[in-house]
Amino acid sequence: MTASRPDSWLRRGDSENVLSIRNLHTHFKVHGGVVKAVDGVNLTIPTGKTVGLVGESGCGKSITALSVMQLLESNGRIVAGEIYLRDRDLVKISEDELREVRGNEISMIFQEPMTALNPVYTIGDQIAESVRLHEGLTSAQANQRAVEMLKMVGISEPDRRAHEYPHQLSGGMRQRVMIAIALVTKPQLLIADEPTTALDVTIQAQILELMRDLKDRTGAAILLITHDLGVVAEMCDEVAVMYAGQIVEQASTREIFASPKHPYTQGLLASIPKLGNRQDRLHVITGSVPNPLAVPHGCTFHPRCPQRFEPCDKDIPSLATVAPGHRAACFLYPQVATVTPLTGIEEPEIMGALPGPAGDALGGVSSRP
Amino acid sequence: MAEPLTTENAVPSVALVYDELKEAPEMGFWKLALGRFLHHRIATMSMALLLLIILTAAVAPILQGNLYKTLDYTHPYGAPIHLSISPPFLVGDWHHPLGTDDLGRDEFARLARGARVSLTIGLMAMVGYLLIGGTFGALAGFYGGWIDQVLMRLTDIIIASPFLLVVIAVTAAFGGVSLVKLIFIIAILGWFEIGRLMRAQFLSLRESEYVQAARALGASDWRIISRHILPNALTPIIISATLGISGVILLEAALGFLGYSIPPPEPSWGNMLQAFEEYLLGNHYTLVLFPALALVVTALCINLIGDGIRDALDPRQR
Repeated sequence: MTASRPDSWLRRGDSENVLSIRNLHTHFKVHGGVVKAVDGVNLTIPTGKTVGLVGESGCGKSITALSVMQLLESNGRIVAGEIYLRDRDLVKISEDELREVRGNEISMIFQEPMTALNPVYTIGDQIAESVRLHEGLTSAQANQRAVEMLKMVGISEPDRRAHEYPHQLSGGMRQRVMIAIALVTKPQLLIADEPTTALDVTIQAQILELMRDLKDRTGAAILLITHDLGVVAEMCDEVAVMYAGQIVEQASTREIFASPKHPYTQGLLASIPKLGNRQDRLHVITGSVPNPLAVPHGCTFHPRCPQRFEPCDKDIPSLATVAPGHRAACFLYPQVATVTPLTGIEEPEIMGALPGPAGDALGGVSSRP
Repeated sequence: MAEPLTTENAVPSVALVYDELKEAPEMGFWKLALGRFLHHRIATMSMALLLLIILTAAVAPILQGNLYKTLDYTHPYGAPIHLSISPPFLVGDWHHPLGTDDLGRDEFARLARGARVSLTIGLMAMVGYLLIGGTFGALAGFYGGWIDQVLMRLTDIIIASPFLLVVIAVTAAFGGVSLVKLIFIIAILGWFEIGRLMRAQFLSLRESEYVQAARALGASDWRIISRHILPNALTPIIISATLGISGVILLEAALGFLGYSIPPPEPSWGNMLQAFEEYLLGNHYTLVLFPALALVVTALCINLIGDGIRDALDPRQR
């Protein structure tokens, strides 16, 4: 099920890592088959560090995040794997326990600040809701916390702003409010799903600066999902590169940019245009992302890989340490072993009792009188 | 020679605009909506007229006691007060301002008491629609699955059947009519439109990012339904409910006209219409005209108020 030679970083929950995802498989039942959106992801997030998760659209970045939160659509399901928050496996705990984890120990910031705030409540109410849900404060105390939090995320006149509605704020301010909502409960981990994609560049810089500052003050680890390598270079301590549902490389940001090991990462970095270089055509990775319903055998990247050789189209490479603190999944490196493909798993059905909110809800209703 | 420009004398409008700007951010959604509604002239006039009708229905029967069923054999078919070209201009029996019917009962007292029936049924049946349709629609839209299937198939059946006949059949099956029974029957058979509207709202809102964000905060299903989706789903429901009240009032009148609403001697606008339909082209046409007018005016007022509410809550639809 896992790599034949498990590394020490693959051990179960520990104090070094806030989150360790082990061999996660999240599959979706769709018309025409099963999409293996997350297909054997291994990822660790060290305490208090920022880890960037990068990859093309549709490679499974967001689904990985939603799997951690267990907020998958009703046709999706974690079919195998473990997600350890410290020493608790989130895949195994109950829906009630999950609700305590969500927003309290793991918070999430969404991509669209324009639509992720509820238009009928004041922003103060929405920040306060988070603490009221998890800490049982009185509304006066919660409102006090909301105002403090608004001040902390750099919103002027927080007392007055707390009584304003989302439509009265600009995009950048709304994203600040989202960050305030996410951090008011002092979570151990903040998942930010493309937090700056919808903002213009100057606001982006401000928001990133704010996130970095708050991370230092609260000690929360950040999983930053993005496809912007510039953001990664600026924000992250570590980077994980994802391709077709798998992590193909994880290392410190400096390592990744200085000496990428996986041919996909090498291709990605080569395709960044360099300022000052006159270049008629940008470097491209030939071919295109595989059809999610027909992922290639073996290494999923092999049809596009300029360095493919003998085993690539047959065996699945494991994610192994190829240099100190540097893991890659590519047979170019002798440390990389072969992964036995997952067998005997139950594929998700569209109807029926599924994990996640919608599935659970479905079961919940029928049992109600 | 022009006076020097100061803020006092020169540009009062600037100060006014500035005040408005200063005020604007403080206004909540409902306050803004109320402001828009009050600026809607036709809707506010309708509101005033409807309040007058409600007040009459509430107060007049108390003051008049049994007048609505007091038989006055000396004045059958009394004419209402009417204009005359010679003094004293206003002719008629001031004890019976709208005249009397075939048994000498006071028409105004009967109209006022009939208004109670219409308005009560209209309002209470709508409360029933909202409770049943709202709950069912919300659950169907939020959870989908079997509850959604049941809702949609029931709706298909009701839409495909002649509604008035079904109501009459159910009424007959329950053996006679009373006000409470009628409200229940109408509510149980008529909530589908509200239910479907609620379902559609929940279906689209449950996919919204702020609901996803609420889930990510650890909110329970109940909290998401009641605190996050419901307030956002309310606008079209309020509009539809308002407009629906006039529909129920007209339905009750139709039932009364067919003899399946409140039985005499208790007056309802519907059974008053039925009792005197043959006089429509005769001398005593006012016995039909007044209940008909009462119905039309009430229904029209409610619809115009509904339009006003729609414009107030959703200015884009104007």
